[in-house]
Amino acid sequence: MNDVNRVLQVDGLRTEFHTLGGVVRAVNGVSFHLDRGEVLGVVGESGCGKSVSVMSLLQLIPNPPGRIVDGTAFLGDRDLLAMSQSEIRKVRSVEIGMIFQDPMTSLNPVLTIGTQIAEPLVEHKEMSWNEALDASIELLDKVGIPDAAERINDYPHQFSGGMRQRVMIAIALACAPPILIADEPTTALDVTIQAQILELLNDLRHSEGMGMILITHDLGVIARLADRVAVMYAGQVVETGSAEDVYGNPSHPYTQGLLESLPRHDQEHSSSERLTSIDGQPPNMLDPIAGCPFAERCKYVFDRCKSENPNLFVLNGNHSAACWWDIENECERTIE
Amino acid sequence: MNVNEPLNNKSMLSVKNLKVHFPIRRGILQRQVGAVRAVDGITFDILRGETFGLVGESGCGKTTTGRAILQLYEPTAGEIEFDGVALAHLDSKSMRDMRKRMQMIFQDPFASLNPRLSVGATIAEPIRIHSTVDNQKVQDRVNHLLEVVGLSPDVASRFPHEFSGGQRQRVGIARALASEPDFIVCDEPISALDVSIQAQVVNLIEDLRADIGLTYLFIGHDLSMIRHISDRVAVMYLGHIVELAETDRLFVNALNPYTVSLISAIPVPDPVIEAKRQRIVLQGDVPNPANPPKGCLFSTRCPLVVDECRTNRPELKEWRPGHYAACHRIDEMGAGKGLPPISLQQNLGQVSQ
Ligand SMILES: Nc1ncnc2c1ncn2[C@@H]1O[C@H](COP(=O)(O)OP(=O)(O)OP(=O)(O)O)[C@@H](O)[C@H]1O
Ligand SMILES: Nc1ncnc2c1ncn2[C@@H]1O[C@H](COP(=O)(O)OP(=O)(O)O)[C@@H](O)[C@H]1O
Ligand code: SF4
Ligand code: SF4
Ligand SMILES: [Mg+2]
Ligand SMILES: [Mg+2]
Repeated sequence: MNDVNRVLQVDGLRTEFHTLGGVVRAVNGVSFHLDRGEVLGVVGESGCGKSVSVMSLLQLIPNPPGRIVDGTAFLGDRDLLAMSQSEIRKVRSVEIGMIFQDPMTSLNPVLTIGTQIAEPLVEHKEMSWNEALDASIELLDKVGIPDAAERINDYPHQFSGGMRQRVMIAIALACAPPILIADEPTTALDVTIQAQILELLNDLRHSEGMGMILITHDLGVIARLADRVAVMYAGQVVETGSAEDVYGNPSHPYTQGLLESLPRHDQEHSSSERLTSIDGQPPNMLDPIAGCPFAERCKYVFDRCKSENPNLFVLNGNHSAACWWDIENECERTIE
Repeated sequence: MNVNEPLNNKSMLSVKNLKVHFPIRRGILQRQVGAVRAVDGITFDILRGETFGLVGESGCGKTTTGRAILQLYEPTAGEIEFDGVALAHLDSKSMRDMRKRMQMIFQDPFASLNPRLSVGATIAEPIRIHSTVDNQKVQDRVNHLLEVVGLSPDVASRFPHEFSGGQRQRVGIARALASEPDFIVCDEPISALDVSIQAQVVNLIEDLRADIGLTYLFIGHDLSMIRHISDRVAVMYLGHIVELAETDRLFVNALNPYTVSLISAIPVPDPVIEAKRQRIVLQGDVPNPANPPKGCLFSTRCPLVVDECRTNRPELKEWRPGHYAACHRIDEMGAGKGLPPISLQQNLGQVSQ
């Protein structure tokens, strides 16, 4: 917490859901941080706990069935998890902006676009409605909506998917928060529209100096934008480091397997070449996991993996992996 | 024009000038006020044993093309020949026989299986419809098919909700194989699956092609997977094919500005390459297929648009053997003069700076 550039520091976050089938340990001891103006990419497959991690920070987990059972999340020197409802509500628009996968469900269908962008400005920035609507036009313009002055009177259904996502970004940006959390912001969009949105996020990062947590299952999207990467598997961060380290020297068997399994459109493929796949499937989060959550699918698995969940080992600088096996040196890792 | 007149290889499927328009109806009388031109005149052949990739953005007409080939939609115009036989003129008995030979694997393994049928019954259904065999033989065949797709025969009595997405997709594949088809339309068979499961299913699909001798129409929007799996690729935009070529040729030497932009839009899973890559970011959205632009369909977004593009629609022309593309400016860019069309990418790159 002594680093002046550290804007967010999350430690040991645990979130559970109590369902009829049993307890889902959706987020199981997750730690990560975000520095001023950097993009942290969080990647992992569906259900691994990416969304629940960030929803937990913002106290957006429905309770019941959900419950944050452990952890801290410091925004500067204030713990988000300890805040009252009114405090966290203010944080959600003024200090941390948020955009989601499906802009249609997060926009209000019966309010004009202008009203939805202006609302947080009136509520939190003490602007009059007229000032706030003028600011909305500027914001829409900034996110690349043509004829912004006219479009503020339109309703969400009058916009295409890509434009709605731009509107969501405009709302998230309204109070100029220093942090933006984007949860699968381009997953529902076509690739040419995805390219537009990624370009916009990249521009905003540079022009506004905004720190960003970008959640996606697409390793290409992360490679495009992220400075640092956290790879999640079954509710845990299994590898984290700079994008160069994680992609260039993947050190967790899951990260390695994922990168190997991806075909590339910029490389030639012979038609007889098979993809290198990871066997098996992600664990059922209802079953308690004793050892390493990846053990059933891992080609390096050995005895220890089945009984002990590995520590996050620091490999060098800020590159770490939660694995008992040192792939490079072909030996077991030991705790100093 | 006869696109890809098969050279030595025999054509399995031949699609000629296929159109599928959906009427738009309004008012109490449901009068037709227009039409969505979902597929608007496409021509291509699929050779026996090949995997033919069809790519394009949402709504460009890929699924409609696949369904029209399988006679699930009635074409508005055009002809479809399967193994040399025109499907439109078949009597219903011959059509049933033909239907056995053409199957489909769907995008959503959750929606495409009947939740009330056990997996065994799901796979047995097409076997019973298409042939009269006794129960034991059906059972044996179901067990065999489950093994072929990498599932244990023990799962036959279970129901779809007990399976993961990847397993359900395997069941869908087993069902498609049940009538012993020689041609399968794979409509985005992996896009609903987790990244770590996609490679497993793609490997299965490729192994089956080799083992059983299948021919595929593989529909997708993931160009990386399309490059991996296809022998040839057609790119669709607003109901038309704008480029068609052998896979490597298309990815290395695309001639149509939309193809080049589409390829450039897909990020590569390598941050070092991404940091240096030149990107073309197209402005605006895909136009409404009920009201397509007059001239070139891409003219509303194309970085290289000139006046001619707004009035005349370019035709799909063969620029090199087997490489077809539609664009007025290809000649000028050098492709017609035998120059490497990389100049097109450079031109696009400059425009986008
Ligand atoms: N039954 C139908 N009635 C009316 N319009 C339809 C029908 N089916 C498809 N369309 C329209 O036809 C066009 C092409 O649709 P199609 O489903 O073939 O696209 P696609 O390329 O498969 O897209 P995606 O990538 O989203 O699956 C779209 O504009 C779609 O809305
Ligand atoms: N409201 C809920 N009730 C029960 N389980 C939930 C709820 N929300 C999420 N989960 C479970 O938590 C786990 C992590 O989910 P999530 O964070 O949404 O995954 P993703 O990484 O795809 O964003 C999953 O097993 C999911 O089923
Ligand atoms: S701890 Fe063991 S099972 Fe887990 S990833 Fe490492 S080697 Fe594989
Ligand atoms: S014909 Fe014109 S608008 Fe169409 S792709 Fe070629 S240059 Fe672009
Ligand atoms: Mg999610
Ligand atoms: Mg489709």
